Amino acid sequence: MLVEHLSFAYPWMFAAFLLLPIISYLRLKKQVHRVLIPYAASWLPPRRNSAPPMWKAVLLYVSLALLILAAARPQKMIALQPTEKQGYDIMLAIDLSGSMLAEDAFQNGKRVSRLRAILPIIQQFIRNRPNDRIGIVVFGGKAYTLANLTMQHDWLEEQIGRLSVEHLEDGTAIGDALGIAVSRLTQKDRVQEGVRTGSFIVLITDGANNSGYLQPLQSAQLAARLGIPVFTIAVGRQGVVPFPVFDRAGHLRGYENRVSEIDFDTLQHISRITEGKHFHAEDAATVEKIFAEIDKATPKRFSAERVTLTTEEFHWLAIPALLFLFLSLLLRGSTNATSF
Amino acid sequence: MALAGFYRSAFRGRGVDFDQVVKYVYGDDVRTIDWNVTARRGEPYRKKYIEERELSLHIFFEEGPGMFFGSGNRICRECALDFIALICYLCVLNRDCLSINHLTASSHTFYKPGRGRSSLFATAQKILNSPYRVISGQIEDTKLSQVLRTTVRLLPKHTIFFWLSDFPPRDIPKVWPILQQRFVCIGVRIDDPWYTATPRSGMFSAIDTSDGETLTLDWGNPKVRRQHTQWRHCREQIWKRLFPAAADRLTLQVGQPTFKQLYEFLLRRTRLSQRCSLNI
Repeated sequence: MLVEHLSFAYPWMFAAFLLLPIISYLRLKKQVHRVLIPYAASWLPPRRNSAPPMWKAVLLYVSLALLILAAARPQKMIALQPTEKQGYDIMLAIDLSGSMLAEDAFQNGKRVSRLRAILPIIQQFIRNRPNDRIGIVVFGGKAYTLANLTMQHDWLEEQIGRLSVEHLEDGTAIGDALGIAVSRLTQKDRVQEGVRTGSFIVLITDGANNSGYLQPLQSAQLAARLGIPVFTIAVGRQGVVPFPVFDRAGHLRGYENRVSEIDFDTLQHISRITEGKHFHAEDAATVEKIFAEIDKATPKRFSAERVTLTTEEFHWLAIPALLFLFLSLLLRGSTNATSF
Repeated sequence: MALAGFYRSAFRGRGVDFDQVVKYVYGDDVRTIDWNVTARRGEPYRKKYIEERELSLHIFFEEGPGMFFGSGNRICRECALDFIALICYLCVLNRDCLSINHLTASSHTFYKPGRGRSSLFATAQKILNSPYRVISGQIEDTKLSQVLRTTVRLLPKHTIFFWLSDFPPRDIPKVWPILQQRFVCIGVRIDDPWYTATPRSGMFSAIDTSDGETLTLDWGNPKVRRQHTQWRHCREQIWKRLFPAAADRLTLQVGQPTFKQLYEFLLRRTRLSQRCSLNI
């Protein structure tokens, strides 16, 4: 990202403008030595209408002013913001358990599964944060790192587009997922003054922790100790939701109603101890709002270490100044005291 | 006193009436030598004629702005005053009658004809001590003609009329032919090096004293050089029209000794006049 602006390195040089009236006064007072030469006028070639003496003085003062401006060192500053230095490290922990197939979300009036509903929104979220490094952890019965922290968001979006429930064994290992996310964030060193800043985890789930080695709260404490906020998003409605039933060949056979088992208490607890936030999304629209809120809670930061590329621009002033000076010297016959 | 001898020979033809025999001085016309007396006395003597006694001279000193200029050590005015002083001295030696017109842009002084040491030295003193002021502005043509016209009436015929000036290019006064008829007119022109040659280089911010204009004079500029050459040419033309005979033109270079230049002029004039009289 480029930010251009013009500034002067030595603005105190502008004080030299005060010298101009003094110079003009001294020039007026100056005694000019002249030779008395009789008949000299008849030795000069007949004059064309030469430039009035004013011009010489005007050119001189313009060139002086330009020289002063040039001496003030105008610089074009281009602020270069290195992408690594700004923004957040974000781990997205996405639940891919079987319950994500529950079709309790609506998109364009059509019933879709929870997963289908949230994936475009996650993609949108990634797109909104071009300066952040984002990684993805997916979890079902076990948790896997789908993508380590990366700036290659196109690739991330592609990966997210491919996500489906079938890849993983059933279950919900929230604790493991959190733990992996935390460990991914700690691998990239971003400790400032002992506190990890600029990273957070977004945990998206629709169930309760029922597998894995770590308890969610253990992982949350780990995150809290490292100062990583965890935003938890509970997806899906409470109560009875339609659930697709597949036959062995994987064809949809129909729907059956099941009770969703979202563990709100644990999610709230996680977000509280890590100073994150807990959200409950019943449909796609709410998820969108939630991501917007996360965006707001973690404003895109700019790195304090700003690298600026300064280009000296004095020659744009100095060259015309010298040109004018030269021109004023060329104008002949007007070193009169009458010109100011 | 060789200068005195040449002076006599240069300005007078021989008179008709024999007066006396005097000692020969180098520069006197050799044809006037009285060989009889010379043989008797063992040293050269020459015959003196009546006409020689009465010689009237006039210096018309026109002190224009050009006189206050010198590109070297001396200004033209000094050279002109040298000349006046020398003529005064020669007149004293020959007991000739000298009057002087001193004309500047702002004043006009006529020094009455005088003869002899006291009178002429007093005149010379006055002229040499005349106030030295840089006068801006040329002598007007009308004023010049007026003074010349008065001079015609004041001076006797056959007066030797020295016009001492720097002769800038200008119109010839209408009265001039009359003066040429009545008097023996001799032009004495004071020349600064800048009036006779174009300097190679140099740039001056200057005031033209002839019209008070401020300007920058750049000798490096070919246009200026061309214009100056033209001016010189014009000046030379006027000079030759005023005094057609080469023997009547005396040019005094400021940088060179005035005495030497006057001596050479008289010598040259003597030779020319002798040649003329031989032809007759």
